[in-house]
Amino acid sequence: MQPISSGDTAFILASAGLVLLMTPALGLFYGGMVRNKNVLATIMQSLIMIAIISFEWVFVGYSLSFGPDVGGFIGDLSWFGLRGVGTAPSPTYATTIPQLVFMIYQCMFAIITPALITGAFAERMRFGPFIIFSLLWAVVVYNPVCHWIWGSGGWLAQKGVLDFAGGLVVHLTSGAAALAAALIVGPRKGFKRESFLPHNLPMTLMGTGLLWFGWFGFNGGSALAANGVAATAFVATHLAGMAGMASWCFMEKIKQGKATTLGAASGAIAGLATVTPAAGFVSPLSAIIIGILAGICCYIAVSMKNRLGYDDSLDVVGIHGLGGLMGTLCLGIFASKLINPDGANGLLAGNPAFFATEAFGVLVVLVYAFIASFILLKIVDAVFGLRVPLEDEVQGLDLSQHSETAYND
Amino acid sequence: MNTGDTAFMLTATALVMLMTPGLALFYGGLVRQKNVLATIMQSFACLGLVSIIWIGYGYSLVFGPDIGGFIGSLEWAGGTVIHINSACAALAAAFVLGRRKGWGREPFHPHNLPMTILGAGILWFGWFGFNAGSALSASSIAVLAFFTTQIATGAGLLSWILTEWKIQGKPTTLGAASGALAGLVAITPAAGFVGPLSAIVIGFVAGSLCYLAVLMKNRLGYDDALDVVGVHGVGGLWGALATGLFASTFWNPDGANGLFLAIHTSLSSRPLEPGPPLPIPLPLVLLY
Repeated sequence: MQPISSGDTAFILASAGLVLLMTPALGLFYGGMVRNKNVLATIMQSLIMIAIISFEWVFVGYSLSFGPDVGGFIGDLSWFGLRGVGTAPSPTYATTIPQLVFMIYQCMFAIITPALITGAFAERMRFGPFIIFSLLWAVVVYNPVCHWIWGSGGWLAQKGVLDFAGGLVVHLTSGAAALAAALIVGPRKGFKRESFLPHNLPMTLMGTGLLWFGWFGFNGGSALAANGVAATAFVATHLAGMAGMASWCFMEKIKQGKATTLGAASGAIAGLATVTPAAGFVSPLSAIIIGILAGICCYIAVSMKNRLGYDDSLDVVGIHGLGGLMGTLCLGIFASKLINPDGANGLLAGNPAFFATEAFGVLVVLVYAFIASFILLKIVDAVFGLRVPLEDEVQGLDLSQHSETAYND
Repeated sequence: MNTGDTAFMLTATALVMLMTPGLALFYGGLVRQKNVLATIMQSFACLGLVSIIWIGYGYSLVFGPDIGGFIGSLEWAGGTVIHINSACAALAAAFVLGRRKGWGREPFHPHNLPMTILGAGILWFGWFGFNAGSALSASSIAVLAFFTTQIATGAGLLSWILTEWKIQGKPTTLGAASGALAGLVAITPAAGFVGPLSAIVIGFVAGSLCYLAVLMKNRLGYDDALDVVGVHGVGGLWGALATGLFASTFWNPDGANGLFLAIHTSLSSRPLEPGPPLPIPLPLVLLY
């Protein structure tokens, strides 16, 4: 058994803390974009995931995702309640740090993924059914997909599909679920007739800053050691975030005449989400190109949303769904073994087969996550009812779901 | 010198530093609009004042050569030193200063709850430095403390809003923030001494207990404006007791065995295995 490295342990613990911070940060990012009668309910939908999913993860989620493989599709339940998971390193995952560190680090990813979906049905979802849906979604969608790609023996991993920090596992699954949710829950009252202005953009920008900060833990920490790959991922993350912000603002300037702060925030998140699957496998210059593409494509996707007619309120599909999809394809193009010998060579390094593998991964995850989320939402809707009554929606979710108001004199 | 440990402790220190502005935002959002700056300033000024005092003579008083001092109890990261201590001071202050004008007649609504939640998020983040950093090295005990911190806080959050949902009809965001804080406070003295499932129980009890304590405050008639006594006092007290109940040398050989393990080992000669003693958390979950 390898000895525990204090440097790696320190780094992954710090990274886990950073990723935890991303969930309240996401709450602020989304919270600033809704109307002020819904801000608390929106923040709460992210915040409560920390409690719900941490439980799910400790009892079944970690075992289903990373436990001993069953046919390549799911882990078994032999690590139920963390049985046998202790301070000794795992022989399979992150062998230089205690397994508890790996477990809690991955827990933070499981927390933020269902929180990302909440932007699609903001301002109209009932709180109780939302919790039930998220819990079921973690078991039915997140845990299996996580196992396929990151679990030892997962079938997509066996096929050679790579995903550095969650382009498929986190962003594409939540983006696909967001699309299903926007379609099933339906648009907000007044959609297309009135404009839903963000009530507090500084709050959104604060959330963006904290998300960016946390993303260094998300991507840098996914190296699972304080080594050269972590440095590659850290640099790629920063460069793609800044390139996404710049190119989104540039698109706005050309198309609408003014660059906006909301655009800067959205562009940064688009760049960060898109580079996520590629971060530890590509060069700094590739990361910049990925970020620029992300800003341009996500901007176009978001501005086309209204024409497509679904109310993805806070652009989860256009930013995270598209970002995860594009980032994974970009990994197929830009990956290079010169950067990370444990990675792969992509299209530009003369290996179209790897691009095809990544495209296959995208297709599988997209189809599975969309269909499974669609069915789950339909079931929860039929049994409990997902949407608040019209008068509650008009009154605002803060009062109707939580008996609170955000701002008082 | 171990570079990993040094890096870990520097990071942990910065995280704990961030908790003070986090606390300022947490409290600042809870007061009325006319008092927000003063409330934030009271935390913020401590960053300057206490740093100077600490460099000047505080460090020497606390960690310098001992003059007839004592310490006997098991305490991970400041349950007694910080939370019970500050809560006693808070109780004294609430009595000495008296109530705010209008107390009991008008409601004092929090002026900006998103600010409070931002503060709670930053506190939670910083608390990893507080509890895991208390191992003073990037060791497996730091890992244990990190993990128990996360899970107890989740449990505290959940049990506060579930109790609230049951008693008052709606789960609130203020309840979620308060429950998380109660869980954090309660796990602090126990973090590096107990196993994961004990941490869940500690957090779960803390959430409900502190909720009830806060609910009773108005009947007791003192104006502890932002519930320092109810959350830090009751939570810290419960955490200190819980350390005595749940501590296990299986998880930390340098710690001690608490009451439950003592009973267990006196009943069976076999030491506890890591794994879920399911009967403990299940009834708690089923209560609701």
